[in-house]
Amino acid sequence: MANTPYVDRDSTFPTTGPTGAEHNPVTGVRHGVDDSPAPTRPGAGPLRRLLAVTHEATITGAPMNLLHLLTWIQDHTSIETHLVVMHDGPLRHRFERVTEVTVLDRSSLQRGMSVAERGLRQLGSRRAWKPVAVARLLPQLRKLSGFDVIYLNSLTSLTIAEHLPPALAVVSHVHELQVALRQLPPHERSLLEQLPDGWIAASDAVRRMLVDEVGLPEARVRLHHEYIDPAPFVGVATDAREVERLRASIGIPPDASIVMGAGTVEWRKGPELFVQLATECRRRSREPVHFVWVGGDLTGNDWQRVRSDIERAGADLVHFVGVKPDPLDWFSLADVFALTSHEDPFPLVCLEHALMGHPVVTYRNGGMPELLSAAGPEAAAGVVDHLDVAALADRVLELLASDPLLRTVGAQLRQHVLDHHVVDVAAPRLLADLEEVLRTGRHPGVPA
Amino acid sequence: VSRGARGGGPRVLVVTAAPDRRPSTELLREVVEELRRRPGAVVEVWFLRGDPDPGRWPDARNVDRLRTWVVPGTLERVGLAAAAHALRGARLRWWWRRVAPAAVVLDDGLGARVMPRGASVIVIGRRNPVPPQGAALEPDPIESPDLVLSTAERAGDPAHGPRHLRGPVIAQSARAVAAGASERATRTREQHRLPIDRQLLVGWGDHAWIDGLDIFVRTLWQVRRDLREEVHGVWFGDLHPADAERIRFDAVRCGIADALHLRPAGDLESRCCGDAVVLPYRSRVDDADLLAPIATGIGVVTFPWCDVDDPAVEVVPWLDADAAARSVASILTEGRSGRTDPAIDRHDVGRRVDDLLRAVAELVG
Repeated sequence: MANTPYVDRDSTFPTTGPTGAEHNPVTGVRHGVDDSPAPTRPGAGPLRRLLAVTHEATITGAPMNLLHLLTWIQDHTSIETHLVVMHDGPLRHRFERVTEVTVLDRSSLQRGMSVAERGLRQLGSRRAWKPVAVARLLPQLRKLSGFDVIYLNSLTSLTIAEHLPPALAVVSHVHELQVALRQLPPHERSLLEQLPDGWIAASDAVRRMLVDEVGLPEARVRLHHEYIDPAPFVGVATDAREVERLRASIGIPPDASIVMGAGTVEWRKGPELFVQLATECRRRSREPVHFVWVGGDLTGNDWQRVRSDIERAGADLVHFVGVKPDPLDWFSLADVFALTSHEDPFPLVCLEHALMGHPVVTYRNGGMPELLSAAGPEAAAGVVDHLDVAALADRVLELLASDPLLRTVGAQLRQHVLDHHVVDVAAPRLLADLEEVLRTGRHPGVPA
Repeated sequence: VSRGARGGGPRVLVVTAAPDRRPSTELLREVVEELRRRPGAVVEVWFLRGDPDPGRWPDARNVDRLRTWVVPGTLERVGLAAAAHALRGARLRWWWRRVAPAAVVLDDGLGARVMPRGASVIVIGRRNPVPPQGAALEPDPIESPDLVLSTAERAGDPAHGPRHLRGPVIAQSARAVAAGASERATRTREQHRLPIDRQLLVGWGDHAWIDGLDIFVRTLWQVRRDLREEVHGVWFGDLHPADAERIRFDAVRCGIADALHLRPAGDLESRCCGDAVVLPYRSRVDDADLLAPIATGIGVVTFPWCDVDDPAVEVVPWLDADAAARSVASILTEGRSGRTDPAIDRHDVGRRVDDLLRAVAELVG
C-alpha cells in the first residue's frame, strides 16, 4: 500500500487505489487509514479557499478558536474563507466581520426537519433520517462550491460533512475528549474515522484518544494546542474601583483571597468539585478564601444540583455569578484559577488567566497538565491526581500563602502562553499544516 | 370507637402509597403480618396506587382506582381538577364509612384531606416521605398525628406531635439475610463477579448524582490510597448509561477502573456481601435501607440524612469524602464487628408491633 497515490473520482488523479480503500464522500478521494507516506497530491496548489464549519456560534472554546483563526487568516493572508454555522449564537456577528457566514436552519421548515431528523435518530432509525437530512441541508449548502479545504471544527460538525460540497481535502479539528467521543452517534463516529484526510488534536490528551481509542494513524493526527488572542489581556490596567465594586457586589471583603472557576455548570466542568474544593479549603484554613465561579445557566437542573450541594455543605463562601457580559473584569478578581473539570481538552479560560498572571491548578486529566508541566516546575506543581480534592486544596492554600510563589507561577504560565498559545504564533502553524494536508493528503514525515 | 367485627379488638387501618418493594414498604408488610398474628387486632390495608400482590398482601385493596379511571382523568385534563378531586374524595369517604377504623396507620407523605373524623392517626415516618411518583393522593400532609412511628426521632419537626416511638426496626427479611450473610458473602460475590479475596465497599442507588456515586468513587480512591491496599468497590443500581459512563471515566482517570464494579440493582443479599457500606446520598432515603447491613454487623458510612442511632452507623459531614474514607478505613481495619446479635435484638420487629398495639390501645381508650 505504500506510495499509493490518492484517487479522485473525477480522474484528475490516478485511479489505482489501495485494496479495500474507503471512498471519501466529500473530497471524492479514496484512501484507507494506513500510515504510509504519500507523494504530493497532483494538481493541488496553495490553499486559496477554505470552508470552515462550526457546530455553534457560542462564546465557548472551539468557536472562539475558530474565530481567532479566521481573523488571523483575514488579516494576514489572501485566503478566501466561508463559514457554515450549524447553530446560531452570539458569536455570529463577530464571525461576520471576518468572513462570509451561512447559518443553517433559519426557517421554521428547516428547524422542523432538523427536529424530525433528530427524532428519527433517537428512535433508532438507521436510514430514515438520511433523506430528511438531505432534503434539509442540500438546498442550504448548494451554493457553496470550489473549496480547497473543508475544516470541520469540532466533532459535531461531522454531522453535516457528507452534505458539504466536494473539496480537495477535509480536516477535522477535534476539541473533545472521551465523554463527547463516546456520545457521538455511530454514523458520525464512522465519518470521523474515514472521512478526513487529516486530524488536528487540541491537546496531546485528545491526540492520544484519537490514536489509542479511535485507532487513527498517529502520523496523520497533528497536535495544535488551543490558542487565544492576547490583546484583551496584555497591558490592560485593572480598575481598582471596579474590582472593589465587583467584590462588594457578592459580599467578598477586601482582604479575602479569591479562587476562581469558570464555565457551564454541567457535570463535565466539575462545579460540584469546585464546591468540594471550597469546603476542603475551609476545613484546612481559617484565612478568608472565597470561591467565585463565572458562567453557567443558573436556572436549569444542573444549577439546582450545584446549589443543593452548596447548601448541604454550608459552603457560604462559594459564589456562582452566572454568565457575565464582562467576564474579564470578573477574572481580574482571581488570585488563583482552579480548573475542576472532569475532562477538558485544553480550556481557553486557563490561557486567559495565565495571561493575566494567575496561577492555575487542576486535576490530572485532559490537556491542561500539558500546559502547566511545560510552563515550569512551580506551575507544574499545580497538577494533582484526578479527584484528589484535598491535594488541590493544599496547593491552593500554599499558593495563597506565598506572594512570591504566586508571582513565580503566574510569570511562568504567562510567558509560556505568550510563547506558544497566542494566535500570532499558533495560527501560522495550523495554516501550514492545513496547506500540508492539501498538498499531500498526509503528514510529510510519515514513516513507511 | 369501633371494634373489629371479627375479633372484637380495635380495627386498625393501614394506608400506604403503593405495594412496591422499597425496604420501608417491606418493613410495613412485616409489621402488618405481625399485627395480624396478634389476637384481638383487626387489620385492613389500603393502597392508594397499584394493585397489591395477594400473595404478599392478603386482603389488601387498592381503594383509589379512580385515579386511573377515565372520568376524573378527563375532568383533570379539561381543567376541572376540583371536580376530579371531589369525585375521588366522595369515593374515599365511602370507603372510610365502610371500614370505620379506630386507628389509621398512615404512611408518611400521604395527605389527610379526606381522613375520617374520630379516628386516631398514627404516621409511619419515613426518611424519604415522598412516595413514588403520583402516589400522593392529597396535597396537604397530615399536620397533627397522634403518634409517629419512625426509625429515629425527627429533631425540630413539630408537625409530628409530642409522642414519638423511635428506633430502627430490623425487618424479618433483613434478619433472614443477616443470618449467615457473612458465610454466604463469598457466593454472593461470585454471583456478581466480584473479587472474593479483597476487601469490598458496597453502595447502591439508581440515581448516580442523588445517590452520591461520585462521592463513593472518591471515597474508594482515597481509602485505597490511605490503606495502600487493593480495596474494591461495588455499586448496585440501574444507572442511566450516560451516568455510568461518566463514572467509569472518573474511575479510569483516578486509576481505579479495575477496582470499581458497577452492577445492576441487587437484592438484600448483595448489600451484605461487602466489608463496609458507603451510602453518600444527597437526598433523604429510607433508613430501612440500612437495616440489612447493620443487622449483619457491617459498618455503614453515610451523610447526615440518616439519624439511625446505632453503633454500626457512622455519619460524616455532607459531601466530605475524606471523612468518609477515614471512617471506612477504620471499619476495614476493625473488620466485621460483633455487633450483629445486639443489633437484631435491639431492633426487633415484634417489639415494634408491641409498641404499636400498646399505643393503639391507649389511643382508642
